[in-house]
Amino acid sequence: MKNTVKVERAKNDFTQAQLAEKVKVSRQTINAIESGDYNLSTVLALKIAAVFHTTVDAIFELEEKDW
Amino acid sequence: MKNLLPHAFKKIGWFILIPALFVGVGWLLLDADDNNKLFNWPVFALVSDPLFEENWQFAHFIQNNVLDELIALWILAGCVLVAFSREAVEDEYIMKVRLDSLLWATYFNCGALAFCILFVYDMAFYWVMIINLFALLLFFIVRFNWYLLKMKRGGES
Repeated sequence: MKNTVKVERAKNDFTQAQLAEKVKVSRQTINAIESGDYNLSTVLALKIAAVFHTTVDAIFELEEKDW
Repeated sequence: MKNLLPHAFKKIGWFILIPALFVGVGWLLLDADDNNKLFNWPVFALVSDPLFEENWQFAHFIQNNVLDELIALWILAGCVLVAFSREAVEDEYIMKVRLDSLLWATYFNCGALAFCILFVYDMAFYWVMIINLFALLLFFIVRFNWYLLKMKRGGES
């Protein structure tokens, strides 16, 4: 699954630690999501989208290999 | 996950586990059990002899040197506290790493045990059985904490 968390974070001028604090996870979790090492839960995806005032679809996108 | 101990217990666990491991290894190397009369206590034993031998007894008191039991419980307490205390932020990714590490430790322990079954014999295998009492939890602790350390070093990009 591709994501634009890093881009959204840059647009909103958040550090990984700040985003982590807002969605109540560790900074390492945000790092793992951004680097594609971890496919997050729906709840966390919704929380991240809410923080960036956008939709989950706008941030997360399925790849061929996910099917 | 609700079934984890509070985060503060992890530090207490390390204070218990590290000296316990040194004492445990010392006990194995020195075979101190028989030399120490201080720990020769009467204990309640459900079973103490091989099952169905002549004069086999269930649930009775015996005289036993409890030093090895005390050391084993000491190590076990340390292992459980370190292995199953929450991290400061115990989120879904940490939980995934925790469960992955537990699975990895189980596979690794089975592999190590199979290796020892094939290549270790006689009294040396007694050591393998003693160490294997704690090996699964120790493998888990090493793998999980190594992974956490690696994650913490993964800097912001």
